[in-house]
Amino acid sequence: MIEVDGATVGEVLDAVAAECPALAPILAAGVSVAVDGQVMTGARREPVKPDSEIFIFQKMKGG
Amino acid sequence: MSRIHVTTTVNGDEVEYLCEPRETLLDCLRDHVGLTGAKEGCGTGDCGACSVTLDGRLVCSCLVLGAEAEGKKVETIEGLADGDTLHPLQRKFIEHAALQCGICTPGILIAAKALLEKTPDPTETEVRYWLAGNLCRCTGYDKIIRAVMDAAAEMREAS
Amino acid sequence: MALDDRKTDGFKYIGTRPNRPDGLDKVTGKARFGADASASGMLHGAIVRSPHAHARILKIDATRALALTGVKAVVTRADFATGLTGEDADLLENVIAGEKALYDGHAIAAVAATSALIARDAAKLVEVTYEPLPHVTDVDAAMQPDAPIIRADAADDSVPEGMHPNVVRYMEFGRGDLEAGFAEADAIVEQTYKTEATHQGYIEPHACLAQLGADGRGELWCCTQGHWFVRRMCTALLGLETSQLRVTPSEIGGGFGGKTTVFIDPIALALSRKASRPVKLVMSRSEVLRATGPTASASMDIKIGMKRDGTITAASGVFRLQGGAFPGAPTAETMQCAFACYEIPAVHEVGYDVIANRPKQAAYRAPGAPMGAFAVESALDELCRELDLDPIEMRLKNASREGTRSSFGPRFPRVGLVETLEAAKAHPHYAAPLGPNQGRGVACGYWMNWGGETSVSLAISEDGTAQVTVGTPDIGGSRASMALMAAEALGIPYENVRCNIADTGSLGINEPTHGSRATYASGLATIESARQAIGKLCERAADKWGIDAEAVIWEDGCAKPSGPNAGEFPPLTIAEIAAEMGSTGGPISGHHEATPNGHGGSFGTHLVDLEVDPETGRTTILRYTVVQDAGKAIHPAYVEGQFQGGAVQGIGWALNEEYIYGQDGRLQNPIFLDYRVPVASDLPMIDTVIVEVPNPGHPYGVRGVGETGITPPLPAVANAVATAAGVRLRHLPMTPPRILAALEQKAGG
Ligand code: FES
Ligand code: FES
Repeated sequence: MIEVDGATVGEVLDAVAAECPALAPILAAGVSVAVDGQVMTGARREPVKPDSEIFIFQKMKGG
Repeated sequence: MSRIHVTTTVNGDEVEYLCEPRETLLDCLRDHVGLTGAKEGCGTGDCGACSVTLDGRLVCSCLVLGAEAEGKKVETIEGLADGDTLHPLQRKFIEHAALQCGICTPGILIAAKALLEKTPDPTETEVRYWLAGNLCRCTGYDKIIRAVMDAAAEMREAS
Repeated sequence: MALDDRKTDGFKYIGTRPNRPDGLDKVTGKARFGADASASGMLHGAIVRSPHAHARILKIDATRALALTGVKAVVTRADFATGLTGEDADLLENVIAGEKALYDGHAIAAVAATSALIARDAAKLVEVTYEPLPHVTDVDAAMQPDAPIIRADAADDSVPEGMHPNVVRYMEFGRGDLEAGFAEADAIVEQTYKTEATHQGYIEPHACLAQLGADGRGELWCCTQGHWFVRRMCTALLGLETSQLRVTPSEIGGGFGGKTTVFIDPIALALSRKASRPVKLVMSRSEVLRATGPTASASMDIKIGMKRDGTITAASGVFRLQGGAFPGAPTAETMQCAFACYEIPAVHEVGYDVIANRPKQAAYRAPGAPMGAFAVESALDELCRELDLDPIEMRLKNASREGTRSSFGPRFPRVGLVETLEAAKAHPHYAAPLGPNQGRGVACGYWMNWGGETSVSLAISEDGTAQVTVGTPDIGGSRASMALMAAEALGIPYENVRCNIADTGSLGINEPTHGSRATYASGLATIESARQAIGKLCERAADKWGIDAEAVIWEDGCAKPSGPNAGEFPPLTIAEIAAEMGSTGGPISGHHEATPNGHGGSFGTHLVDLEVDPETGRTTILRYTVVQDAGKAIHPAYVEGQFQGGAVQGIGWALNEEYIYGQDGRLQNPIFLDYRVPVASDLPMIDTVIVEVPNPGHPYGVRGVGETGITPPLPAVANAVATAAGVRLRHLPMTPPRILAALEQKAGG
């Protein structure tokens, strides 16, 4: 669990990458993100609230 | 390389083709006659996607040689409907949503027709065992069985 | 995405069961599938495959093959792009081997000739010199310190120090106090479960017709779930510009995830480029089984603690998945779905992605989820027996619902698991009597579903009918669903809408029909496209009436004036507006592009009754009921079809289907006779109950339904066998020999 600032998913991901450089290549390879329970992809412009809870996952695939 | 000249009847039309001795009837229908309704799902007689009738007998056309059709009558899915009028089995398959992808459908329709000709009033178990050689990976068979039973009922009423 | 205009009831067309638009073509043999196309001057291809599980390729000599009359080209790895990295490099390595053959059936070279028979003969004349290497095909064996190293540099940074190089990815997550949770439990189960690899088993083998010129422009016809993916992959592997290849999808004879990647398409394109002729390439069934698909095999350690009243106190899982010779086993998905059905205060999961000498796994319906569900739902059943709890009541007590913090982190939005459990409990099936040697099994399952890149166009024709153009191939009736949604939105009859599947030249990028996304995402984009077109139709009416567009509403396929200042005008029908569109401002259409993220997950609960013959170990399914949340069923018959098809694939996985490798590392059952999928006489009717808990993320409440249904059958059948036979099998499939062995072991004490 880390706390970062950002007004969009993209800004949050960039902040995470800056805070934890080890994660940067993983984030660059593409991840799924859940913002307050909603799993999303391709959502860098999606807004987040100051108290939003964000989870980052390996990009998922379906059949 | 010597090819065999074959004269046969397909869906009522006289047809001629030249085939290799080792070519299957399925390949001849698809590649030489231009009828691609029968499908190859396995080539080993295990899936029934290639089902046609040969002189009224249900066969896997992947296990029959093209040369064996000489002088015989072949019926394929393309001959099932009577012009614009669908066979009751075809109509019931659409109405019951008895196909998803539809690749198994031609073979199953041909096999089901052969069943109803012999057994106009089959039980569910009879339908299931008759169609046990026709694989469908999409539907779980439920709607296929219902469609066949329903078509049989309608055909019995009509006759 | 804001869905300003949501509608979840009062539908006119949604929820009806009209005939599918492509039904006629598919019952008359007219529909054109992958292998049904031809082109003038066409050649036929055949592929040379490795007979070894693991071998260095010392030499490929095509002299004798090329000397055969009718042979026009031979390609090897040298005919493909170089310098690829990451997933593209793995993909190319799988499509055609480089220095090593990595599994039995791995493609080594390919031939194009004037007939399929000549091509096959020529393939046998290609002489490949191999140096066989030690191999490993089992997941647990592949992790042992002495296991042969398959690819030394395949692992990424996630793998902890000291692990075998065959472990290529490592994952771990969790929360809560595991120790305290287990200390609180009245009963704890701790067991290891295994599932074998199975194949998607689509009846149509992969097939394509390719044409690629020296100018780098190409055309490809193929059976695929996603032709934009095919385009991207093929152009990357051949070093082409993406837009110069146009891919047209054929009708597709099943995919289940296995047709979301490429195997033969790049080879056909390479042969075509080399021979300067179109090339058709069709796989045989044994090629399909040896070299495409399958799903991963899994070995899993599960520990769950439960209180006497059925409350789950803690859970942990270690998941080891083998996905063939390449990274990519769906370990993360297994982990996300395994405990997703339940609210668990303390949970910890560890996952390994392991490589072995088997074909590269491909997605298979809810990829990864069935394995984890088998392990977890079996373990829960063992706890229910120990504590004498009703399996549905126990599940209801712990069930995930809106606001529950999921095992993988985020809280669930509105979901329908409780509703499916309640419906299963109330179903007559659950109370029906059972005979001797019979047993009943219950299990739940989850799939998170998917949105994905989507682009849809809808155009109004001159007569007021509409055409919808989508990019998601129709595998199970989705054209009908799109037409229903467009008809509903436009207020015109279903029959007045035609849905076409576009080629890659006709729309922006669309992800494949996968992840249960087509009805959700293409449907959402269809509705939004229709709404855009309606806006334009209203504007034309407003112009005609000389009023503000805001004063026009759309109802029942007509523009109507509305509001105090709109004035009195008779409604204008869509046909009237469309007839004049050329002179009132031009064509009327709508278009929507998005990567929608409101795909709600779908939960299901399955019930099964079966009988085990104690003499033979054979299991007969007697009764089966699928209960699943569809959000909103657009075309209920095809929703039922998804439930039934998924359940039967799961039954096959539970009872019969498995990849069997010999000591030599070769696949021993590469035909349908030996790889036994369920047939009609194995099964009863499959009952369905469609639960509808509308998905807040879709304008009509749709949830994807395609995948969840394959998840519960594995444990449901295992739980029923445990009652019927009195033995618990923790290794799938539960073939007659395995059941007999378990019975004998029990009898022997
Ligand atoms: S193709 Fe003939 S039975 Fe399968
Ligand atoms: S409908 Fe797809 S195989 Fe039967």
